[in-house]
Amino acid sequence: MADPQVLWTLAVFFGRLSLQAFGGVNVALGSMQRFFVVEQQWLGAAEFAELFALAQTAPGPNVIVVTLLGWRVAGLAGALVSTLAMLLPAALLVYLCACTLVRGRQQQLVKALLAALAPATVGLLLASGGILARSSNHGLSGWVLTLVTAVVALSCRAHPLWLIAVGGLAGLLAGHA
Amino acid sequence: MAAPDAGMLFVQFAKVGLSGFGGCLPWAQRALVDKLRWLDQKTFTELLGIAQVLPGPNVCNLALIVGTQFAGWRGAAAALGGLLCAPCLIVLALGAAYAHFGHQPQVHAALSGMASVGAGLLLASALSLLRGLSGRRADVLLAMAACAALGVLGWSLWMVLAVLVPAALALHAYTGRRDG
Repeated sequence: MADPQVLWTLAVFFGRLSLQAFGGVNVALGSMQRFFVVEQQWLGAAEFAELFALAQTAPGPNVIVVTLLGWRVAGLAGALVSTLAMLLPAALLVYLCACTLVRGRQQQLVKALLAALAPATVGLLLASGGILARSSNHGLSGWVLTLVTAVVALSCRAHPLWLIAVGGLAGLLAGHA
Repeated sequence: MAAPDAGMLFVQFAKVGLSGFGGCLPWAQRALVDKLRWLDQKTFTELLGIAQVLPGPNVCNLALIVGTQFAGWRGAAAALGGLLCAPCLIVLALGAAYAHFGHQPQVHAALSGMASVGAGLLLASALSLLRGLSGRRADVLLAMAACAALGVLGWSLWMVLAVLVPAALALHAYTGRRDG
């Protein structure tokens, strides 16, 4: 049975993050890394990065990384609590907005807000990418792999799953060398 | 055609959830607009905008909005549940495998390579969005400020948003008035 204190901490953290996660879950990855690795010290930096990569190999919305992190820290109860805490506060807000939605009315407002959110979310995503890169790479070969991936992903539409598979292979080869 | 009910929403969003790797939005668009024709492209874009402007996972927000529009709160719950149920189980199975085999040196080496690639993918998506902003130099500066606030200063998310979103709103209002 998972420690109720840990479950409560997970619920509070993800419940608050839920309402701050503008621009999607990946934007909030940097904050999650800080919380799990630095503040609570539940996971090592490398383990956090590995769990993120693992979640990327599963189909579905990016939010399932939250399920995986919760599970790693506090088992099935942790997975359930974390996922629900990450989903429900935002879902309630979205539902209330969807109920009051009059199609075609809020176009101007939404456009203005999206434009205002964009710089902040892009910057946060960039910082999250940097934090993840620092977590996953301990040597030159890791950084090379990260940079090559970024260049390849930017210059052609390679499927992310293929790139992750190549990364696994490269890690295996580097581990043997 | 008749508006989809909760059961149909569950099934169709489950399909979307299972087909998307590294984000489901393109698949949601393909299913809702092209295949099922539940929404036209214009409505999809409008609803997506609302999903993105609200906090929370974007594609989950979209499922909630589409579900609510067609079948009220039952529709919202069905769409979200459909989207997440299988992916959550799959990721837990992967987690169990990780706990079991993660300590073996070969598995660990492969995972560390995957993690490096995962970070690279995240950086790529951020850089491609940054490229999209590059038309407005002030937006790029704001993005760099957000990046430094989280990455260097260690600000929390809400602090970054509370400072930079109003700044961007004011800036856009100012430049909009000057240009218009």
